[in-house]
Amino acid sequence: MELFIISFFTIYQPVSLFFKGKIMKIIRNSDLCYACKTCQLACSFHHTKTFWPERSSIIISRNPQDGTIKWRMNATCDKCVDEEESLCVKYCIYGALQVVKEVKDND
Amino acid sequence: MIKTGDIKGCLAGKILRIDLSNKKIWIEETKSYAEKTLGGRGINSLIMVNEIAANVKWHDVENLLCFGVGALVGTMAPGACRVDVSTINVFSGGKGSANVGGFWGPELKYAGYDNLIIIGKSRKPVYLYINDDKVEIREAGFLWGKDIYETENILRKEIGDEHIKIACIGPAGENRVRGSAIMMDTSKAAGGSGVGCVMGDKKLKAIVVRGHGKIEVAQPKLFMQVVARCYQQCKDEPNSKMMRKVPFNLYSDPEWEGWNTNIVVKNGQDDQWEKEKRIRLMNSTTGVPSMQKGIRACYSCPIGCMPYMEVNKGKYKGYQGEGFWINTIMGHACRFDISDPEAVVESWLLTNKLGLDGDYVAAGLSWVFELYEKGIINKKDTDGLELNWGNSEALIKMIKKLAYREGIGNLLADGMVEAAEKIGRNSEYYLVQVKGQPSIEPFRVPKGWALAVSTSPVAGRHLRGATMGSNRYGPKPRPGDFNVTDYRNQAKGVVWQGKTKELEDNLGICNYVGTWSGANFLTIGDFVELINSGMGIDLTEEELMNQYAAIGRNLEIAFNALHTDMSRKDDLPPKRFMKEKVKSGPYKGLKIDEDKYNHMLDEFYTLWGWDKKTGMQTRSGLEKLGLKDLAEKLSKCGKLVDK
Repeated sequence: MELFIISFFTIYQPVSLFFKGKIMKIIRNSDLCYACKTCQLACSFHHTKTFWPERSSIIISRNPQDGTIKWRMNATCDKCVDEEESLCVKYCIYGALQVVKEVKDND
Repeated sequence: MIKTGDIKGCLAGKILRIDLSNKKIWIEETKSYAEKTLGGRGINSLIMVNEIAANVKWHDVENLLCFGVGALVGTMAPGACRVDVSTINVFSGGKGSANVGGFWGPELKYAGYDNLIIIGKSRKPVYLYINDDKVEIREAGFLWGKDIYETENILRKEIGDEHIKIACIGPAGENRVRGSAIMMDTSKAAGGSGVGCVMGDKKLKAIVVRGHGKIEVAQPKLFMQVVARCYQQCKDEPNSKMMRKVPFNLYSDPEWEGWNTNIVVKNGQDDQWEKEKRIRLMNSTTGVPSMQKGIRACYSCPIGCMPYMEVNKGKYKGYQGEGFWINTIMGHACRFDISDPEAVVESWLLTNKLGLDGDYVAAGLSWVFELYEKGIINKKDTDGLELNWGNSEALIKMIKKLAYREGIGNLLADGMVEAAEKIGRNSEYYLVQVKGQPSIEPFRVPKGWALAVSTSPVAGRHLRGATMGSNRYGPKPRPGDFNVTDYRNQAKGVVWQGKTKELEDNLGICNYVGTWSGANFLTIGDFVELINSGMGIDLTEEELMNQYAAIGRNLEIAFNALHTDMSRKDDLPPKRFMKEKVKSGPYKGLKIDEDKYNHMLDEFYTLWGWDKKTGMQTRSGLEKLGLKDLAEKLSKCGKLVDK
């Protein structure tokens, strides 16, 4: 299920994901995104322990002709519950993805 | 050494074979090839050496067009995205190879294939549609004549899937222009060796790939630990920021040392370009950097070196696309003495759009400009165009003429060496070419660059070991201690860099992320750890460098020996650079000293284990690499030194 479509020209658009009562906010600065798809690949590794982009919660597509980059996140994102940090953020070397806030409902 | 059955990860597992003449499709297993060469180019070279008979020419149905995706591609190994395209070189008749990044290669692996080997020719235009196990040869009459952008747009609409990845040729490849590229993901060119010309000759317009599968690694946890460490290395490297946004950070500095070492002006008349022209072209207010709208990276790349450009003023306003490299400056600007930033960007984008190889355009057409200047050709020959230095409009018109074979373009499309034979009047002296392929490379100042370009088995390009001093962006562990203009120690550096490139092409790691830039990104030690944890094998650094890298280069040298009469004389730089000196700048007076170059070449052959006198391979050298059958084959043709 596609929840978000963010164009290349959207800057600092927050994405909130609800999971097990937590709110996770990932900030994506699309000016910093190089469309290398490493986040997609890292996410698939979290889910499958293989490299399987089709099983990623983040899907990146880019149009080399008009320069647009599309970023879609679907409902399979589990916040990397068993990882030290979200792999998509960890491996975004360009700093386009950042976790900025994590609030528990019962905090 | 890898033993049968040892490889447990990284590979997709299958090689896809297609016969366009008989419309047959079949598959075979990758493993037995990967055990010998790891993957990528190595597998392509092995198949070509084994299967193409010595009398086959590039335009024969028996010629193979081979796509080899590197062994680590599809995983998260940094910079692992590269594809090698190998075929008979349309210029030299020997081994042809072009290397390209982007997203097409990983997609082919997710579809289940490590290599794609095409034989035969179609009678009518076709394209391949590969969607996992579903492989079809489809009619492509409706795409014939379309440029790269149009072809991609039509195919996306036709197939209705935005995630397809496309490799295609433009009008240049269709028209069998020798210097044609295969373009992947619109703007990334497999440019050298005329691979696009071969694809056009096979009437194959495009290869569309969609893969839904996965790539597994042998030890997932360990592999990701290595990946994490490699990413941290790239993050910590101070040069990585400088290497991104390249036009802004490096070339826009008119004092950048590369302006003195990497540049060839007016087709080789000088190696120094005036400062005011550098500033006009590259200043950040009105120059090329002002047209950069963003940066893009290839798949799984931690560096990101590709600018997205949009012409923002002048008569080309509105033209846009990815790509502007040092080759753009070396080629489309300096070789023609063009400092108009909009025209340089537009001419580069046009080169991509028509599916031409940028280096062929720059080296070939700047030669024609010089012939015009010298009066060897005139306006009657150029269809009325005034090919004066700096005339950007004439360059843009010539690019179109070349791609569509219009007027003088028809003469040039069949190869510049062939054109020189027809033009006569000493025109061949001014043509900068190595083994038949026009070359934009600098020869007089950087001696290691000259050695690597001149000895490249795929003719006249710099990626097979070119060095720019031993400490480029360094320090990083690398052999030798030499300055850019030294002859001493240079061969050691070139051989080391050549070996690392062999590994990078087999693994599919971009050599910019690998060892070539000299920045502290990946090392050979990192390659070892990635391979061992990913493929589940146990190789050492020594085995990688002295066995697998050596096999890669020896297969290509053997292919050249079997298919051509190449010898030591073909490993020399163009004569022009041994006679004419650099006219201005800090390296004024430099040229190539033939004796010193030959001494460097002796050292180079010795380090590779080849015969010093002839440059030929030796029986003991090949047997040491486990290539006994190949030694026998060469021996039967008289192309082996028996020692």
